[in-house]
Amino acid sequence: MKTLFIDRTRCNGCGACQAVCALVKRGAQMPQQARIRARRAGGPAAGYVTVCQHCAQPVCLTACMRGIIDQDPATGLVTRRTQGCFTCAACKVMCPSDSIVYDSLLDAFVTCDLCGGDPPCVKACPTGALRYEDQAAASEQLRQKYAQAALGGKGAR
Amino acid sequence: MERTIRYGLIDLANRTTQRVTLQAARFGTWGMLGEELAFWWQQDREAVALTTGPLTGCGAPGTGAMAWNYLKEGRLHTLATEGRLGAWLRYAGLDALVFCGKTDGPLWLEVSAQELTLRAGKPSYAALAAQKPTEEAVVATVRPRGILEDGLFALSDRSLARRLLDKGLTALVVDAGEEGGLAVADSARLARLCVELYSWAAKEGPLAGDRNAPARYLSLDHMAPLNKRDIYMNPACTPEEQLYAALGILWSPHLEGRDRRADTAALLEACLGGRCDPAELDRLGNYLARLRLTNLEGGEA
Repeated sequence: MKTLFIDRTRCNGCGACQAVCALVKRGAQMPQQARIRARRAGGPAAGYVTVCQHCAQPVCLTACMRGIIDQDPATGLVTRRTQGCFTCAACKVMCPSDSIVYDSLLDAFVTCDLCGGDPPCVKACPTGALRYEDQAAASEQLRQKYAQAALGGKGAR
Repeated sequence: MERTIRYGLIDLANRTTQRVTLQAARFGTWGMLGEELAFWWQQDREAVALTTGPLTGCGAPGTGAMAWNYLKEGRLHTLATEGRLGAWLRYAGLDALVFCGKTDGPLWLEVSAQELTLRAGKPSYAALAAQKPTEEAVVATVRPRGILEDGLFALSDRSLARRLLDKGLTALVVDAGEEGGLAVADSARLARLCVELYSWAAKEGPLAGDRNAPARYLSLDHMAPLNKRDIYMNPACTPEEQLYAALGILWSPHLEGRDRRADTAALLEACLGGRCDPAELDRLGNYLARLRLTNLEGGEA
């Protein structure tokens, strides 16, 4: 399955992905309600980006009391029917990547839906840190990077 | 083009705050270069104003632009800079902050979507960051070496920082809350324009990105390496750049080759609605140049 992959070594936290996501999904410039977020908790040095990882075993799905979160068995895409959300925030509390945000227009918690397979945030990323690629390929690349770093190479964090 | 300007009037001497709204006349004040708002300095020649433009915070590259304005030797001095402060100010429902008077004890200002609150004290960045209302709130501290955003990015030179410290202002915390934001006329078009501009900047290969050198908000150029203190840079040197800065955008060298006038007009249309002919930007530029000339000759703002 293809998903959003963030290369933290390249991300400089400019917020372009967040700004474009807010325009596309929220219809206004509201970075706080974007589904991908450049976070600065702990200061800019500790900045990072969070977005739904479409986990293989999504805990949000099991936490949801209304049963409105689904996972496509074929693609692995985690989706939600926002009409039924009563904003209990159980999914948000359980999410390991803290990537569930409240959308005040829909009055529901929402996550990245990958924009139908053509995410504009990826096109907007000026550093190439954000990529839309196969999870397995991204993991493989990450493992190789760590291995190189462990053997004395550079580039992994 | 029509625009409503919303600004916060901060009277440091009397420790009062006020939100003011004024309808901008055509080419009267929809730019936001200080020259257009000379009445602030007619009331207080020591006033310092933080202004944003109609594009500030809209999401396009370089739209973290804002400007500090004050009188120096009878002339209006404008410092353009980039960061989150101006954008979050707009998300909190204000386009500018005007600091008048001088207090006898240190004060800091808290801006939220609902109110402006002056509080006594000179808190450290760490103290403000620990108690900020939401994760996204912007903390700017005024220190003798400059105004620092999020403890890292310099938003001004030393002389302006000392001017603000002399007035008694020690920090600014701007919080747009969970529901603050910027309404735009055509979000789909604006998103397309933003993607086009960011993609253009990266078309020769992605720009250098490094977690050890965080970028200013929406900036393609200005990083702050963590191993050394960032210095303030005023990127708006030419009259054309000053015009764009007043509109809320600092065009990056990475976007060289773009038609800046046409792109700025398109961004203005997407943000404000209505028609904006690129020739209108020339007329606005000429109008501002005339105002600036009046300032120079008359020595008055």
